[in-house]
Amino acid sequence: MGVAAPVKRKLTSEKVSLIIASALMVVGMGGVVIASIYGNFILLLAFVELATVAMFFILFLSLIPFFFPEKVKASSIFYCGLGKEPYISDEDVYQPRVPLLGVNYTLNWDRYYDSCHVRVGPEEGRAEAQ
Amino acid sequence: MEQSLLPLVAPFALIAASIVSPLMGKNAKAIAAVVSAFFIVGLASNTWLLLSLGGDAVFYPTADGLLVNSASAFIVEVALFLGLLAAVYSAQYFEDRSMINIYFSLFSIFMASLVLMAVSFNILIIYVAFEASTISGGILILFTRRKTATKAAVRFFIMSVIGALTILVGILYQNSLTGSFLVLQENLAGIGAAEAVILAAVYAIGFGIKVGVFPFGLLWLPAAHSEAPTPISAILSGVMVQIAAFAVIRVVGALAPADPSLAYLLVGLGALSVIVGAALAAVEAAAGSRYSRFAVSRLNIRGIKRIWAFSTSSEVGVFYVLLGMALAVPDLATVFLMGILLHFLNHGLAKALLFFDSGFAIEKSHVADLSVMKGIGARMGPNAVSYLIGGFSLSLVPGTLGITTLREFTSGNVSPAITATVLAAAAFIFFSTLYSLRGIIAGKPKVKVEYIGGHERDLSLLRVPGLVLALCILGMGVVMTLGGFDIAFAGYFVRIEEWFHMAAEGIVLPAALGGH
Repeated sequence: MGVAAPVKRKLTSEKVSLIIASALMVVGMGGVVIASIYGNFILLLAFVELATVAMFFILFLSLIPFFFPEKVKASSIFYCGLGKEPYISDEDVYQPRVPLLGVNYTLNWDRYYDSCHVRVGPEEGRAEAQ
Repeated sequence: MEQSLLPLVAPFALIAASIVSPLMGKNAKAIAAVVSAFFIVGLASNTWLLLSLGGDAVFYPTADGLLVNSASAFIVEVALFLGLLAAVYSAQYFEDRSMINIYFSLFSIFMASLVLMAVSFNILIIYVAFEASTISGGILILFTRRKTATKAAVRFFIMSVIGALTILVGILYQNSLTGSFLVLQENLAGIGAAEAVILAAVYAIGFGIKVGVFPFGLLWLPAAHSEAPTPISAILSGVMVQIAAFAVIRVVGALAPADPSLAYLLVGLGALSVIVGAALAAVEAAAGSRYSRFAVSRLNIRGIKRIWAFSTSSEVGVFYVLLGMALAVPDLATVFLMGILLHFLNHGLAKALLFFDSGFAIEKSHVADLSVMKGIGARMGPNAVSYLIGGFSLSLVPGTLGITTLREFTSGNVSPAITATVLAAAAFIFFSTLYSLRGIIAGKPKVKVEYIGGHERDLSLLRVPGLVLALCILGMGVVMTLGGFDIAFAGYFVRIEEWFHMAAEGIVLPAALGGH
């Protein structure tokens, strides 16, 4: 694992949503166990529904950032795309973060070796597979 | 059969670990020590059950809730043992420890949900634990913090949700047919033959997605198991897919449809899984992801962990083959179910070992691609030997635990075609083991590799799980081999076989009370 940039400890709306969904899932799970033991069918289905909806919510919480573009063309935002490159890079304008965890990606392992520790020469043998 | 609090101890110890670890700051070793202590508490109570239950069972608060018999206790024992080793491994694995407390919390929830799946005959409890393992397992995959890991986690989430919804359909169908959520033979006996086949097929497919059986497994398993942090890869392969397979066996075994069509379907899917997974593992080792496919990266790599992920896809097929044969030949069902328990042990220990040691080679060399690593992982030391032992065990080499699976498939109870399939898969895995180890320790990489100066961090704890597991595999393997051929340890061998025979009868229960 590479050394990451310092992480800001901030309670974002994404994290709050994740905490609420996780708590609802735990309540749903506990409810299912208790309701199944005591044979209350209506409560049981209600808790299954709660746990399932919480699971779906968490699923979409990971899917939405996943389908966001990886880069934003900064010049198309500033000056309606007519101006020169602003004094800010595309990466600064938008940097995707790891879904659910809300931390930055580590880029040093992107080529399946740790670029902080290893320098690999010309990589003709590792041409793109797809 | 009596009420006892003991079935609660392991899941509650793990849930307690998940609550305590976020409160402990960022000291990975301290958190790992506390989490390990909770694992040891769970392991101790479960070992007590394993040694004392015999043919009996305990439950809490009723038989509809948590129910532990020898079979469940055995599964939980393997799971907790591997979980403990993964916790130890995790103490030194992560270089960035900014979220280490959250990692250990999720890891404990993940293990608790897997334990819950194994200790209940109530399909709703199994289902909810299945969902909890999906959420916690998916988030744990993200801890690699690579974009490819996010792709893998998303695949894992989507496939698991499809699996969960399929199971939910099965649960509602079962309830409409029987009015019950229990997966005991007496509760399912009233179902008609055609309905039993449909219900069993729905469960086999729903759980099969999570098990990773062909063809569903190829869509998510190689990606998720290879992209996850190594301790999680070990648990996904060594525990999660196996416990999902155990759930299928428990549920479908209780339904036991008389119509042989489902048995043939399971044997067919299992055999395809066995051979395709093993062949792709060999292709990955020799040629790389350009040919083995099912990758999330656009690079052509020969991923060490991808080899063992494909191998997992192969090994889970063995469970489906054995289940299919148990359904097809009910008179020999206990023999095949016993084979399932022994394969659970062999694959669980060997696959976790191979992931632990692969991860150690990767961290030691800072390279995860065999075509770049070639030779520079040579500082593995004794872990090169343990890696070999793990690979040999999966290749069914006598002297390792693999002998148990080999005996099962060469016993004469199995058709020659299935024996040939399993032996061919073992040959592929044997090749993959030797070829990948050769890549790790010998030769020169085709590309120029240069190390940039920097401190080498201490990785001594990463050696421990591989070595411990190798000793277990070798120790038990020698007893089973020499005992099986009547050379030595014959008494131990007979007692072990008798115990597994007794435990196998508890995988599928005829009734919650008075069944045994």
